[in-house]
Amino acid sequence: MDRAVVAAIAVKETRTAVRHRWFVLYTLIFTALITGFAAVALSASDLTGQAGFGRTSAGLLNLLLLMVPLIGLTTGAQVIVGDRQDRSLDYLLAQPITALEVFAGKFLGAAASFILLLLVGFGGAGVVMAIRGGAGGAGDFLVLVLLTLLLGLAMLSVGIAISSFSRQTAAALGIALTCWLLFVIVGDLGIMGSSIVLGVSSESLLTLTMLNPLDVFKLVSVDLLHTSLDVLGPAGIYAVDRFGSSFSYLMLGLLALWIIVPLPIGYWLFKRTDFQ
Amino acid sequence: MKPVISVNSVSKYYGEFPALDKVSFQLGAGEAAALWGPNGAGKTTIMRCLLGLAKFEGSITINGFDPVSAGQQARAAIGYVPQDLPVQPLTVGEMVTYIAKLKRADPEESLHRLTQLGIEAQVNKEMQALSGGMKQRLALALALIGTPSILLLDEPTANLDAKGRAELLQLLHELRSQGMTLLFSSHRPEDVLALADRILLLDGGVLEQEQTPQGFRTSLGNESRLVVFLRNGHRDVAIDTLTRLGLQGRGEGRVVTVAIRLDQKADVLSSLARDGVDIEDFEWERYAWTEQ
Amino acid sequence: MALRFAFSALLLVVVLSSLQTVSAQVSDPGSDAGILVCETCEITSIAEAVTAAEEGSVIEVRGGTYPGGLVLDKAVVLRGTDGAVIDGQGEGTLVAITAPDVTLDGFTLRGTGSSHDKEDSAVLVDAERATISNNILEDVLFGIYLREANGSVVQNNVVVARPVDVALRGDGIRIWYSNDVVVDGNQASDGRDMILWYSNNAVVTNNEFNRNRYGMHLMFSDGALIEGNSLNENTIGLYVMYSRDVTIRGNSMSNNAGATGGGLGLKDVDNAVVEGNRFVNNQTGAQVDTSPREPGIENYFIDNVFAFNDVGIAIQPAVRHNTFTGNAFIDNNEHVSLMGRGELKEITWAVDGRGNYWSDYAGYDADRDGVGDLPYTSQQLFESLVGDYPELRLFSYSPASMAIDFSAEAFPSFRPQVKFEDPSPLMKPAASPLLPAVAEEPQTNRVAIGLAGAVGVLAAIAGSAHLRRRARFPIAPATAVVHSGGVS
Repeated sequence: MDRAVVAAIAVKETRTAVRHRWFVLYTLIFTALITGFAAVALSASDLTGQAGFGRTSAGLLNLLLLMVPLIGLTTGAQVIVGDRQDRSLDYLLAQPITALEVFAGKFLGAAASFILLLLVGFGGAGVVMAIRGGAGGAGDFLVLVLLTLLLGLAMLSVGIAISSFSRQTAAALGIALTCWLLFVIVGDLGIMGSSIVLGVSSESLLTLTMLNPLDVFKLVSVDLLHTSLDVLGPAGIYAVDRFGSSFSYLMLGLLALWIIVPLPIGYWLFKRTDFQ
Repeated sequence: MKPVISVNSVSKYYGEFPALDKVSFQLGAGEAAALWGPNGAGKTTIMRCLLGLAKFEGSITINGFDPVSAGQQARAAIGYVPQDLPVQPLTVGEMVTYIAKLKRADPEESLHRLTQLGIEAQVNKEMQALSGGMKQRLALALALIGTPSILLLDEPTANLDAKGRAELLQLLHELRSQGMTLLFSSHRPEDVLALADRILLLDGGVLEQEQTPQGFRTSLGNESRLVVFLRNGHRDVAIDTLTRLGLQGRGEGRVVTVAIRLDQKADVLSSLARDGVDIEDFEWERYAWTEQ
Repeated sequence: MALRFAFSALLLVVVLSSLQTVSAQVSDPGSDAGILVCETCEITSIAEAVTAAEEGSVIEVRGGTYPGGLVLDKAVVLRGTDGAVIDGQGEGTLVAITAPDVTLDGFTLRGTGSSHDKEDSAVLVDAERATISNNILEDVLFGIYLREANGSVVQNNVVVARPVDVALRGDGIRIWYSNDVVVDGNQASDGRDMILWYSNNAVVTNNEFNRNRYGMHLMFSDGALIEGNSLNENTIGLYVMYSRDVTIRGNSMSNNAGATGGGLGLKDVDNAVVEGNRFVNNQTGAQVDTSPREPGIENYFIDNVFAFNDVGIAIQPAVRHNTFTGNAFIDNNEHVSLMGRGELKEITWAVDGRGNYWSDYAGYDADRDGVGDLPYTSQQLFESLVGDYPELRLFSYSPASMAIDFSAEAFPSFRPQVKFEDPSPLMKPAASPLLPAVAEEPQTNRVAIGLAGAVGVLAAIAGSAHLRRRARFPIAPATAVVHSGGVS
């Protein structure tokens, strides 16, 4: 793999992504959300004396939880299939480069533009915290930045895997949105429902939720930002008993897996689909 | 002389459908060959195989490299001009330097290709603002980056008007005279006659025959192809009628295809109608080649 | 703000003047006949000096390190200066006070034994009206232990517990059967508990009891005033049991996060007034259990702040006669939780048309009197679902749980039973002057994160702008290289 080639593709991908008007829109929405979160959740008031993680923060965290996967999945889902549809992928692959270089460049470019987007949002929030006060929550904020980055990249990876085998952008977006719904609401509601009906044990409940990257993100955010996992009830207490302090690492590892695993799968599907 | 392109018994199936069936040909350095045939004959498929974009049975070498297992080296020898250059949200200059990096060529020097093709004034224009002719010149300029020895052109004149076509042919002619190997597909006999030393006749994925320009010109001379779509099951009647006229019709489903002389068209259609064949529609291709 | 300062100042004056009268009784020797102890003095041993002293003598210990095992059996003032140290080398109790009116002041006390059976302590008081002040206690099992020591004063001491497992630690300050004591301005953190048992009318003010098991544990002790203390990051901040007439004012009880822990616990407590305290980021802000226990008694929660707790207030279903007014419930995951099945009865949520502030109140105030025109009702569907199926707490903070609450808002048939109703919710949280002051955030932090944020934004915007900008290439003269590209 030629690094210069991968870099050229990545830079070109980032460039075209940034020139897209969706990028500006997503950036604005994301910045507003994360800045709101910083202003509400991470800054102390005279009355409370310290920042805390409450319902409002949870609400904003939820909005993040809705937005970041949505951005990640939909941008990821368009990366390859868009080029396939306007035939620029064939043109690219007709150049003296390898499919792996193309795939890696596409992923890195998409990831770079995504990180740019997050950086604007988080940076803006940092400025707001400095003006309004709340820098005491800087550590928490940094944790949130890193976690969001991990979640976003995981969703981007899944999106790119979806893109790798789709023939139509619309179909890829459809699958991406289905995944999004599944991750965001349907999966949890399903587990909740079956838990009520079937009486699932705390252990299985925790294991089931650990399959969902959004739940993993939530678990590790609560673990790191909140005082303890006890707020999550019996399953949370079970998690503490079973995994102790390594729980966060386990969750971070799971998130990392969600970034890494879709890539080889995506690459395999990409080769299979485009070299028939 | 060692062939630059060597295609040996290449077959390609999409499911049951043969897109290419045991196609073999060779191209020496400096030769210019045209792929000729109707839509779906397999022209684009051959190009995809040569570029390593499709898997196939048989073997291909480009400058001795297998486009599948050594695709990068094989493609390094090829400048590819697609039928319609995909437009990126980049300027012409940005696109040139981008492709130059992919080809590991010097971006600065690659910009001179624009001058070579007379579009240097467009360097800071958005790609989507280019006219069809300009775009095709850009495609050629991009293909020439990295000094490939082979140009592979897929219907290069399809989207051009008469003037643009003439200019592009002129450019390609110059490249050919500079010793470049050309393989191109086209619908237009003028293109073929203007550029090709050899004409590879493809139909239904089969390389039916190879012609010289003279032979090609002759076969074009008074032959054309008539495709008749029947409304009802009168295929056998139609073929009988054609046989009576001394023509060999080929039927499949509701479609009958027959090679005829240019002046026979009206005769054939009226004879069919007279014999009670209910014609729903027909197509007539002037420059078809004979199937004999 | 001004009101708060004025109040604090007034309070300080009252406390200090009462302390002065106490110490005037015991520490004024009435003469200058002091005894000096130092390593090069005539008397080099504290025990010797005590033996030589008369009632009311002042013994000054100037510098040096002295052995433990001291017994102060007459009313002396023992004052350490120049960093005088009493070091028990890990053996027994350091100073035992057996006579009334003793003052122990200004020492560093270190190295007690480690016997829980013998309750090895730095200072063990078995007599009335002792004053223990301005000492630093290091590497001790128990710190200051008042055992039947009515009218004693424990002031401005710092207790640093031995850094062992919490169960093996002793209590920083332990008070048994000692009425009318004053515990003021001490720091006893990272130990086991601060204990106040069987001791009436204690005044516990301005202390820091942080990162212990129980910040403070009060039992069978009536008439206590607990004010202005910092009881943070303990398993439980303050736990009051079997006591009456307890006033808890202006304390900070925050970040007490144990699974069963919280800021304040009241069990079998009558006539409690809990006012102007701050409960932030606890598992449970305050827990009320069979309090009050006697009929005809009312407990009051006034002008407290409950913020960012998992549960603001947890109430046992059998609890009656509590009044909540002027409290601010801000962003608790659950403001009020009922611990078990049943319903809240005879709990008063508003006094004279003044209720509490609820951060999720969605009503309005048309007449602009600061009180919402619609009652505040608590009826979150997800909350009530979790009440029935605790394992579903796992889905707290998730979009799914929000969706469930939202569906209950949208479709009234899903709405759970109303848990309680505040008829006069406040539109703004009340800022009680009693609330402990808020620590200023270090300016450097703000500047640092502001700069980092600004750099991040600028870098990202500059990067994006760079990528968005079209590269400009010079246009080569048309004649320069016409047709000379060359092909190999």
